Amino acid sequence: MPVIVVDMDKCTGHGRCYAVAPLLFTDDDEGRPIVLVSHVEGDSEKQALAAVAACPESAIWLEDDEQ
Amino acid sequence: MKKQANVNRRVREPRSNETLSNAFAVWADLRAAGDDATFDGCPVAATRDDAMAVLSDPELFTSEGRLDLGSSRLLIPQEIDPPEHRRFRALLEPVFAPKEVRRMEPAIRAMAVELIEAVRPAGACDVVTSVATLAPRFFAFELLDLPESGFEEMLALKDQILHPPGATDDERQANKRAAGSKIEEMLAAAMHERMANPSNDILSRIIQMEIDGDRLTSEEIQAIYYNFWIAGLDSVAAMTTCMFAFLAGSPEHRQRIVDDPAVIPNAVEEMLRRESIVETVARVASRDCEFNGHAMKQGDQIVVALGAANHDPSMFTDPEVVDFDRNANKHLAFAAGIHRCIGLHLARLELSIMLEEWHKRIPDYWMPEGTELTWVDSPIRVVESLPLEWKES
Repeated sequence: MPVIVVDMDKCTGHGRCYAVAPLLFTDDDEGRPIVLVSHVEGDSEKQALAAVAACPESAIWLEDDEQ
Repeated sequence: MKKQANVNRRVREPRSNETLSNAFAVWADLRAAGDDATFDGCPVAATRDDAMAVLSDPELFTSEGRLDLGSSRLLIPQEIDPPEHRRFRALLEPVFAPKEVRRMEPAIRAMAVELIEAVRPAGACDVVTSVATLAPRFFAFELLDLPESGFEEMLALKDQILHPPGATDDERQANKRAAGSKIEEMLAAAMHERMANPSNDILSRIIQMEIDGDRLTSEEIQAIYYNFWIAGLDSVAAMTTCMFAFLAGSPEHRQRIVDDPAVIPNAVEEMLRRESIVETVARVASRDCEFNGHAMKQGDQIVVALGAANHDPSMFTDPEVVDFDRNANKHLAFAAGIHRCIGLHLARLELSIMLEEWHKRIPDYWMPEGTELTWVDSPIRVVESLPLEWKES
């Protein structure tokens, strides 16, 4: 099952991920994302891909979970 | 703290109304010119990839001293670089984080409703003077808690900085600096008042902030005040105007907002991209280098054409089309990298609330027949006046 990866060194807090995929991400006190659901499939994978597509810093992607 | 940066100042070339009103074509030309593109005599990053390359390399392309907004100090955090920059952003970002901004929503909404209700019965208004320019009142009065009596003067000074009068560059610089100096006096007075009588506004909170156990110096505090002041007053006003100018000419987009207000956050993002009111930002080469075949000396500026990047067809299909359902909207309207707009959550909320409340009350509106828009020659895209009419109901 694909897993959400956020590169916090690249993230600068635009807040697009938790705007377009509020079920998967929420915001911390600085406006950086917290991943709520890391393993995604079906509908949640679609939402995760929307967040990937919306991130101006390209700081989010999906990886295949090895397990 | 350093006051004067070793930067070769970018001299803004005056632009005609024809050029300004054809911004999208100008951006396309910049992209098409490739390595030969220049803007105000500087090399320019005009594709989305080039823009990101510059914005995400703050070590090579620094931000020191390139804003030229009338301040005698380097603005914090916009004109400083790491490692100092990171410490200041860590202090200031929580002030504008979504959690904080959401608490401001009722007050922003009340002010928006008040502005709209003031014009609604007349069936006509100039959006610039009656709505957009006044919209940042929330920012100035609620958040910064500046005296309401000084608001008109603040707006006039802000205009004098962004499009300074004068026939020559020297005259324009002198007028800009004169306005900046008045603002500095005003903000210094605000600081001293809060040092004596601290309250809960953002300016008071900044005075109480600490880095590694030390309070900020009064120089640092004033550099932050100036930065917030100039950033908060103009950009939301200009974007409000550009949104209404677009929507007045597009009944189908207007109707979508009326029928489906849930689309508003996406609509705002898409209009931010398409309008790109902050057409360009600049960075400064920290050492001699080459960019797209241009030899750059240390201290030379490079222009990042955010508008051109936001219309790059390799990233955005049919970039001039406003598509509220556009999926991959990795726009750079708030720039990117470590200097991305610190107030973006507040700006989005202000713009969304304005659209929501306006369309509840005035769903159908248009520009009077024969209206021709005159663009202001300013770093921020905006028209001088935007007359709208509607049937008063």
